[in-house]
Amino acid sequence: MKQAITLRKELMQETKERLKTSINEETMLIQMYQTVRELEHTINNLMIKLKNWFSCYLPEIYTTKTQQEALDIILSDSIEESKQKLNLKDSIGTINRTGYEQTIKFAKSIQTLIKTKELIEEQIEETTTKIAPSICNEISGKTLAQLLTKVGTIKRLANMPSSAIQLLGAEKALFRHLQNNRNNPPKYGLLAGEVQAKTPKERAKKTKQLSAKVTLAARKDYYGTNKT
Amino acid sequence: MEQTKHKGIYSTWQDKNNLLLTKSLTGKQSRFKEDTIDEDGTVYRVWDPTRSKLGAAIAKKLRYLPIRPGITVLYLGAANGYTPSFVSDILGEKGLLIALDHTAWVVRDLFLLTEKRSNMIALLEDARKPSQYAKKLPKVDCIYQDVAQRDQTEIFMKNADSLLKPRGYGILCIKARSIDVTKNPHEVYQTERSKLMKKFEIISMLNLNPYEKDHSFIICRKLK
Repeated sequence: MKQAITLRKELMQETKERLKTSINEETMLIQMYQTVRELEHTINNLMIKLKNWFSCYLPEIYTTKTQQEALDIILSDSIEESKQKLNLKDSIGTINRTGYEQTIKFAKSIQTLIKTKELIEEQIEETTTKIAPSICNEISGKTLAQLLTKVGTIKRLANMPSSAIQLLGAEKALFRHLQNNRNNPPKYGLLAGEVQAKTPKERAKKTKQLSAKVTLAARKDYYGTNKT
Repeated sequence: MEQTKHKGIYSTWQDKNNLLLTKSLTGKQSRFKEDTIDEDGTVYRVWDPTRSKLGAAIAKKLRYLPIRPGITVLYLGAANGYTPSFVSDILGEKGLLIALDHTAWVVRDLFLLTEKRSNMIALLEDARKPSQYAKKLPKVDCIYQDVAQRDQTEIFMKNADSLLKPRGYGILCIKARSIDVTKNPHEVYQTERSKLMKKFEIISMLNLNPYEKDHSFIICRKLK
């Protein structure tokens, strides 16, 4: 019994040490990227709600095109100023209704969410350029974080063939093709967002070239001796 | 509170449901949001068969369970530690449970659970490579395996070679869908069974429907 207690102490200490060293930069990147995705989703939903609510006071808010524009108008100092921004002389809505101040508070909290999201995005760019400088010459840090959520670590990315990197994010289409040959195989996955092309054929070609570059860069970053 | 035929496991009727229970080692604390029942000062934890394959097997009237109070058990594929926590309850203070998983993300949860249970050890190791941890551990009476890998029977055999005592028991949860999706589950069970038959005698095989789809619960015993 005494043996068991000392054994437990030793092994638990070892596990503790291993757990401490197990979290690397890639894990943090994945967490940050997933948070950004979640925030984007939430902000979009909340903005729809806010516009719906605010349209009771000022229905012309629907004429705005971007989220930031709508937020600026709602958060301006007075209602006259927001009318000015919309080039309005007279509005079809009525402002003297209950709950106007609460909408403003709601809009402010959405704005803080947007600021947080931007801060995390900056952090992602910073971290990716630190751990994988040559990959970041080819693609943006956000896309690299997206690749890492699929793959896990830079090491595994460096050990992958270029054609596999090209198809990351197109797994559903790939397995549909492999199950029955009637469907055409996919030509591009996540990396397609990084290239500019008019036709699908052109996009396929450019993604293939880009994935080759990314593969080389990943190998340079992980196995290279002089990291610049 | 009735003792079932397995030592350390109790059952009771509540709202027309037959509940499985174990005596709690940690009092009324529950980490997995499970219910606790207090009777005459002893606290019992309710075991949900839909969340645990061992629980499902017992709910399906398993004939013989080698996990008894006081023995040493090696648990491969412990994950968050829901089933291990109940195994640790059954073993009691005198037993020892060595729980093992190879993803740091889930071993963190397991580690926090282990700190409160004095008969439990959490390890961050790969079950495919028993040579890395076999020297550190004592020989065990029973190996429980729930890893859902394609080569899960081979993993079990490797561990049994280096860590299981002679005439020790093995418990396997075979997930047919992770071994071969295209084959009929019954064919998969038979091939895995024939692999085991070389070194083990099969005591029982149980299908875990309707709690788990396409799972077989095998209990075997080492020949030498």
